[in-house]
Amino acid sequence: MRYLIAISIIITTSSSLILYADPILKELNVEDAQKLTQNNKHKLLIINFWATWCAPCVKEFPSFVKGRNKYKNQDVEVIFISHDFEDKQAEVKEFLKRYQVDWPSYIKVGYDEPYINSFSKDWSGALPATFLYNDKGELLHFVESEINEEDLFKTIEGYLDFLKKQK
Amino acid sequence: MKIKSLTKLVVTFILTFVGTSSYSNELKLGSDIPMADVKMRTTDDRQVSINDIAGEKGTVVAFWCNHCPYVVASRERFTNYVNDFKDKGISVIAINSNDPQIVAGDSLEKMKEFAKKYKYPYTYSIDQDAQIAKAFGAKKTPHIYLFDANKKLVYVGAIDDSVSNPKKVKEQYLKIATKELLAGKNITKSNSKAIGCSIKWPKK
Repeated sequence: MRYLIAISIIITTSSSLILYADPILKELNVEDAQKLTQNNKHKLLIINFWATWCAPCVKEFPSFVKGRNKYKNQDVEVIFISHDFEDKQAEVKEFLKRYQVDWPSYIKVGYDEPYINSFSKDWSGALPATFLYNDKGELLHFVESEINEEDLFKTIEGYLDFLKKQK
Repeated sequence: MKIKSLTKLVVTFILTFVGTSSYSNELKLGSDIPMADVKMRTTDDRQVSINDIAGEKGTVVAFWCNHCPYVVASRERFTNYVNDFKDKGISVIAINSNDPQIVAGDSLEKMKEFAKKYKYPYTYSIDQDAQIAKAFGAKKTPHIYLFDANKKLVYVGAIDDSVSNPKKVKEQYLKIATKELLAGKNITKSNSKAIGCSIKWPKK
């Protein structure tokens, strides 16, 4: 019986290690931020600006993960940029792990103003914020408030449809 | 037909969405203080308007709160700023527009606690239904507005260029603007931006 418990513990631990590997979290300064959008090749790139302490960000976060999984096969990518303070990387990774974000994420580093303006002169810097880009790296849309799941999916579908008609 | 009308709906929705996400309703430089006579309840149980506290040489309106880490990180710097200028004709009011139903830590009771604990040297008031924030076009905390002696907006934005890390501050925007204002000079940098916590607007 004791062996059985030990074995089951080992199995559970190892399987969770395989399933939930440490999330990739890269530092992102203003130059990296520009490259991230300009070099985008995905049909639709969604960038979500968030922080672990930001309640509306945390609330909308699962919808973005769900949205990524739902629209991935239509070449939609979701990238999370954390705005936690630079020394909070462990907390950010822990959060990403909890939501099984197993693709690369970023944490903003450096000065705010050039960084904010590199995304949009119209963005005040308020969190949460969400930006949508096309495959040429052009900004299609941004919103600086919380988005509910229904609105997020409608927006994604609306733009996918819009981009299809443009071709 | 059904699909077409749905597409139309989605496009209309997107356009509406875009329209509401713009930062364009930010108060323009040179504007008067909006809703300057609206009374607000303070942490010391007074009812004051921005006009009631306005300084002889300038007035600072700071959209503020308790919980936001960017406010927390700015607290000491802001207190130092207020102390530096309070005897020079600059008055300061901090306004909390967050709905305490959304953020419990931003209730009037908690505001009173914070004002006492951190010895706020300025008026700290509650913005009922976020009407002042809406009139200012404020989006986040901290969000600072500096008005001159004639109550015209001369500076809007951040306290400095490194809200999250005080050790990396290179430019103290608000302090520089205030010094220039007091010296009768033009404001070199009249607006700035920083990451902040969105104002937690009351649910309709």
